[in-house]
Amino acid sequence: MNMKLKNLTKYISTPAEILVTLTIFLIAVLIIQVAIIGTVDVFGSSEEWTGPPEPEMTEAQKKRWCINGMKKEFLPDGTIHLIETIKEEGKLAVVNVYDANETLLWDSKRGKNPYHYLSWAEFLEHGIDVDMMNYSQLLTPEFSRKLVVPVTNDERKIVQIWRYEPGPDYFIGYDWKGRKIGYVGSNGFTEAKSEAEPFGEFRRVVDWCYRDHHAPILLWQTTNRIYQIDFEKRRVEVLLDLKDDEIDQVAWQNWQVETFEPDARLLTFIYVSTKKGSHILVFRNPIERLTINVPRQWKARRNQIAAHGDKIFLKNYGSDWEPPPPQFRLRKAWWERTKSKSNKMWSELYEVQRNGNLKFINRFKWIRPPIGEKVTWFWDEPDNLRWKTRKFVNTVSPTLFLAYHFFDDVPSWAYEDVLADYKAWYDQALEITRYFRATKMTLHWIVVVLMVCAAFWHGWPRRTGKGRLIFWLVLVALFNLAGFLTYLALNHTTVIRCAACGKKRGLERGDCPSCGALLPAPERRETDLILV
Amino acid sequence: MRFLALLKKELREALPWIILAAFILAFCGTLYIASNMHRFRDFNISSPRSTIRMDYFGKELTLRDIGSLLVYTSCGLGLVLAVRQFLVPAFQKTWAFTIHRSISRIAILLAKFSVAIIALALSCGIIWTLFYWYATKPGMNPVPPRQRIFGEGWILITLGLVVYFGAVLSALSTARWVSTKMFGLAFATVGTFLLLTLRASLTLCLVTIIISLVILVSQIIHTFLNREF
Repeated sequence: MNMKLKNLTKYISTPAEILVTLTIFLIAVLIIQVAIIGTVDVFGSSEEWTGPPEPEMTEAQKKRWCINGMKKEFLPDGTIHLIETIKEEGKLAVVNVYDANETLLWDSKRGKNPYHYLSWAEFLEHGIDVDMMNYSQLLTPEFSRKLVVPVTNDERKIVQIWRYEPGPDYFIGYDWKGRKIGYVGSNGFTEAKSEAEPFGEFRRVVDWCYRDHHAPILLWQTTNRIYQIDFEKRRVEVLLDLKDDEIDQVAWQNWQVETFEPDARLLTFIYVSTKKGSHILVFRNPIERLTINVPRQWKARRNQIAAHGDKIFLKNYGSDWEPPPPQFRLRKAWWERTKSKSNKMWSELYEVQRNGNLKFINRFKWIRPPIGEKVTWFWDEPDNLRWKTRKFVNTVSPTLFLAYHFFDDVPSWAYEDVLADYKAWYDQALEITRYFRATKMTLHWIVVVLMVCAAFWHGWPRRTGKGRLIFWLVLVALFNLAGFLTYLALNHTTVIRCAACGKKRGLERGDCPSCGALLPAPERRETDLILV
Repeated sequence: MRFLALLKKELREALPWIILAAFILAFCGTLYIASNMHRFRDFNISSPRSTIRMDYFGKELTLRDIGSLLVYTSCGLGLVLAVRQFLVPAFQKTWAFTIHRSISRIAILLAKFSVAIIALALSCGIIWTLFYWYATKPGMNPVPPRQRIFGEGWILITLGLVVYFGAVLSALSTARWVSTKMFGLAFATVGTFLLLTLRASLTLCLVTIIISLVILVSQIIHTFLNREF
């Protein structure tokens, strides 16, 4: 049995040994690379490389850019004001308000701003999003985490909790004693598990609580639905169901403010823009939906909604600026094409009518000066010590890193932040390979060839078979320094001169790889009892 | 019978360490739980002005701090057992006595592995199960730990087994201390560290642990059956 096991484990243990050694050397090389770059950072030149200097602007250019940078706000009657804010040491120091003809109407030295502008609905970017929700499910030494909604009594002690279960996609309720009290799914509150239905693919959840309530209310967003879940009243309302469309952006105005006044109904709404280009308003008390007829040619994510009195307004802002192409290699040509062009910019105000049509109110147009006046975009790699060190150190990185990023056209110097929050482990691993991939290609290939040659020079007299030698040479070529160190660690055997041909030979095999002569047997002595 | 005798001998040698690990885990764990329960009982929205918000404190308040304790205890016990079972006989030069008993090498190895698994299950597993049972008792707290947390605790204990096998591989390796001898332990330590810091799903953790165990155990068996003592 032992013999069988010996042979059997050989087939698993040999690749396992290679894997362990390679992993350790890969990490060791990576640590050394980080240490060298870090040392240069600490003890090297303190000079920060910020690229070529920004162009000097004339006073006329500064004034034109100033208009471009001013906020364009609308009064409820459609009048537009340009608001200039000047910061000093990061703090807001001066606010100037101009009319559309750039006449100063008010400045912050005169006390409180007398104008009340339309207040735009806030886009939902807070709460818990899908990345945060997924991240909290992962194992840590403090265990995974789950969303919990507490319900309190009049003494504000927790009497119930509702815990979200991402797998079945519903909430499970427990009382103070930890007993199950029910389920909350897309079909509302149920007592039986089998009756609870999933909400749908989760996107985001935000919550709020009214003053005298005993539990928070959730606005639960999935890919195509928005729910409002009230745990105190045990009620689930479907605010929006897009069915064959997907939610792109959600904004809300005063939705979380408790009000029962009928005339304030228009002041509380949720605005939803969809992937297919629909724009929908959802009102409450009772829940109603209004589709806004926005022209199809308007670009997505350039609209804002506000309500004032019994009117709803839509602001559209746009420009004829050509956005940069996603492919890095095309960006230099794009920059050359667009840097000296001025662009038409506009901000338009519309009133949303009861049937969803838009009624034009006012427009402000301005010309944005050529962007090349203000910004210098650089396309050459940095020339600071940090980058030079990184380039030099990365020549020993595995060639496999290059293969993985073969189609990635963004240069390595454009990446600085390797690790970011809420990233899965494999994304972080890929970021590391991107950061440490070789960029000084000639030197990298020279290093690879040297490593392969060294492995060949070392392995030739020690060869036990051609296939094995080729495998090791390929591994060295793929993993560069880490591969070479792995090769050395697992293949260093003593060599002797062959008694027959005089060439070097390893002791791993019985016959000489050059002449085939067997290892010489020791000479017989008189004291030898066993004759072979 | 011979196997059982060997198992008893290994168990007898490991017993002090099993008791020590169980005591550390039980003592520190009780302290943690007591302090967390106190915090949890006071968890109410005391200020009338404060609003009640959703929370993903599903950090399983009562058991939260036990997780790191489980990792440290199980990994520590794994390391100590590997040293006791495989390195001490090498220093005391008693391998020859064990190897030349009328029992196969694989049985010797199995006895040692069994003791390590029993040790981890006894000292960490049972204590963890008791803590979990206590935390889920009705009326103990309004956010009872999920069943998944119980499984996660056992996965953290299994990391101790990975460290044990890594240390065993290092102890059995015939390489020099300055070369690749410590690679087994380094592999297990780095793997455990990365698994816990980079965060992975439960399934990925299980798969990674199983692959690590296969990688380490196959090498241990191969080395143990082939090397000379």
